[in-house]
Amino acid sequence: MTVAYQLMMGNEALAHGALRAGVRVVCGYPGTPSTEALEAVAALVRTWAHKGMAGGRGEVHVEWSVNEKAALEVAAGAAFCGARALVTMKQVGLNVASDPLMTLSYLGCKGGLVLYVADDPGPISSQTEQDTRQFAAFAKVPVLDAATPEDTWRMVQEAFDLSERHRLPVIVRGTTRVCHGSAPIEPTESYVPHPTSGFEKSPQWVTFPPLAYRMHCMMPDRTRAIAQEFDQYEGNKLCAWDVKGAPRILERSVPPVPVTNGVVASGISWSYLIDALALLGSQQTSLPPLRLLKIATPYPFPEGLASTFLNGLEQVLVFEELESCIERELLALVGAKHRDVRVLGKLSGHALAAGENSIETLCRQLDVAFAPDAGAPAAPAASAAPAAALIAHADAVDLPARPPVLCAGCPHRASFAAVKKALRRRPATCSGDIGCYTLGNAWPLEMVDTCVCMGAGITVAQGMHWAQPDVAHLGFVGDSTFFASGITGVVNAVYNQVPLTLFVLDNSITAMTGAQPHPGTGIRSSYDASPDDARHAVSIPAVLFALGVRHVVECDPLDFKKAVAAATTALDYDGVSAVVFRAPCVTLATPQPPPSYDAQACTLCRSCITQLGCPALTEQDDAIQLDQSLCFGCGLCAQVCAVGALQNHEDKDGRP
Amino acid sequence: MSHTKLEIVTAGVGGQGTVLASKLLAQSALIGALPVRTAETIGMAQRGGSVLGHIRIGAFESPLVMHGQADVLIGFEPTESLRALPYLREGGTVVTALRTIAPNRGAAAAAPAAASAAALTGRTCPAPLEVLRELALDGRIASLVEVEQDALLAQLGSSRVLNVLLIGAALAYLAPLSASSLDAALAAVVKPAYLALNRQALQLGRLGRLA
Repeated sequence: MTVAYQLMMGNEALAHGALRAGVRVVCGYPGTPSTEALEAVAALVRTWAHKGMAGGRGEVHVEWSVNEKAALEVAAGAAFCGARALVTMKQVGLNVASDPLMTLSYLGCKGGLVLYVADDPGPISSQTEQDTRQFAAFAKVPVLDAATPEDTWRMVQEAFDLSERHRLPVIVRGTTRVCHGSAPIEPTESYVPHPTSGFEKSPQWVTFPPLAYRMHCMMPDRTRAIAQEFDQYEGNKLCAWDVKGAPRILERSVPPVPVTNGVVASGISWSYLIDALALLGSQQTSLPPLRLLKIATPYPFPEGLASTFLNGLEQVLVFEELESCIERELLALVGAKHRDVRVLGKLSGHALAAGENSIETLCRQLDVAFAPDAGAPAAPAASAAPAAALIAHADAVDLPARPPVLCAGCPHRASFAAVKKALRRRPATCSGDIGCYTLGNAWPLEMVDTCVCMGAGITVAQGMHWAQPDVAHLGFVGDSTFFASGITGVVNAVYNQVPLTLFVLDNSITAMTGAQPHPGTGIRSSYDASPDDARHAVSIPAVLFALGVRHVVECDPLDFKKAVAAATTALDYDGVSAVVFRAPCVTLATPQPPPSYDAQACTLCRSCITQLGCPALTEQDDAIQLDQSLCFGCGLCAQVCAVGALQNHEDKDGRP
Repeated sequence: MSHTKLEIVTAGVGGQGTVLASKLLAQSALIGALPVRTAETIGMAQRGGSVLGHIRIGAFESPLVMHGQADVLIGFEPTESLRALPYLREGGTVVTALRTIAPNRGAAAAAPAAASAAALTGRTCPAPLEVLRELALDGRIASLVEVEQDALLAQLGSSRVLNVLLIGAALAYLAPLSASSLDAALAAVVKPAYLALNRQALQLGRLGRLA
């Protein structure tokens, strides 16, 4: 049979939805869990280009921008001209893009301008658990909160219409389990561009204090109008659940059947709620009938719909991940309307304060809030009971933790090991930032003492210098991060004459997010790689020199002796100095044969293990074990082996 | 509305191909016109950390398998099979690879004592496999399928198809998924150059031999 639907991640579903809506410009910066959205747009555009189809003939511009601020500004420019534009980023990327966003909320747009922002409850792959719904309220722009991949597909299309109707940016928010969860989705197989009306000169596009004041005065009306629209929005669902069967959708115009208990959920928590109720309904449950409300538009809050929902309720439990946005809105509404309703959620201690929700946590919390003996200690959901014994078996064994680690053959390992060796006993701090190289923090490298945000290693090191001038302060930055937010920090060091030693770890790719190109490569996302790309590549050493760094050395970190020498010279240099360690990520390079190992020659000094921490090297049965299936043949271990027990192949000249 | 329901958890180490395994299983469900949702670990943990895949076939709204609800657990490594055991329902099936992957254990690796050797070799006491076998003897795990992947992969001449080999070994427990729906899924998901190899891996896992 033909498969009409394709299995897609929420991110891919969003990409298909955006192209279906005729998006013209798509910009973003990679960040887990958002990255695949832009990649999926680029892949579709490439496919259409190969087939000579509409959408692949230059109608859609797709770019990895240098950072999220640049991405939003590029998209805003397109939207000023009336084109539909999409920007993709993770939640912390919105911090970087917040400068243009705050003003765009005042200026507005003409073509639909949609931000797709992926939050990361857990967090699973992020430095914070911040909540984009709250950011939307701060910026006073509407936010649609996706509960499933189907939602991202539909919501991005609705968001373009909404953005054009109200002439302001709209955020679609995903969370990891939505972005990286997959479901069958109708693919977009052809493209029709949404018409672009062109830029019209007007004072509307130039922010000045008087304009900002006028716009601020208009915002309450604007927000109210959108909230009223959201009262009718189909994505916001009012349902009834009477213990047996699935929740039924209620007509909003008809007064709901009297019940006293209600549950509100937003985003993926709504999906967990539906599954939790199905499970509890199939078992002996003491839960009462419930009225349910799905909030797909956390801001502006659909107060009218929420009021209908609250009619006659005595108690409401709120499920949402990250911050207590919905709970606060309900508390405000209950207060404003003088309703006698208990609102339970994160603030009252009835829901998890941080991290992810799950069907399990919801079952437990529903039980605590609504079971007849409410207030008694949390009883596990009935369904979890049979599992308990199997869980106990897993817990009885002390399973070794398996922290993430730099890949075997990763050039970052060589860079860190070389700098560590060059430092010897010199007192030093090493400030890093976000990327695969944050993993340089782990034993035995231990070369990341601070990690704040993108590019911060360069500037944090400078502050440390002013506080503690007798210690060497080293900054580490990756290649993509250097372009994203490293350059201004280097200028700051040159200008303020800080003796900063900077190490740029250039592996020719944005690695942690799954291998995206960046300005240093010249490769663009929606085009096939070509030899011409190199002409457009931005050279990191040339940028550093142009910024006023007078000691700039480029060096292959896998040539270990030279790498240590380069680091030593840079550390000894009086002034801002930089070493660009350049070697491709293992996702780009070709594996080489593993080194040979001579157990007789090995003195078991373990320096290969204790200097490098390579996952391919372990010790067992009085010998070093080289895992052939993991070894990439980078040749580094043979270079640090003092007794020649590990040997690279002769024709390799120390480095495969 | 169909009442068919099959929940699968895959557990492995980042880089072992668990994401493709989830994709294959879900694609196979899609080919059988069954509703399906999946979720995988993507991001930092993919760098050699513990990774989980959730595949829920049936009328579900959310993608994560609950503890105690998985019908089948496919483990790519014995320690990871045991770590993911809480997801398995009483009387479920475990299909596990036998080869241990040593966790990269930071400071423990530096310690000269026997403890470090245990940490480095991934040997814990009792060994994960022993626990699984005991549970199988008690009938708590209805079926335990141990896959001797080293010999089988050598037969295939590739270490890259462990995921498909394990799916083949699990196939008898994956109804309503079938050999033909999985074969069609392979054709849809795997690059043409590797299709023949993957088909062999599926067959070898399923039958224990190549036809």
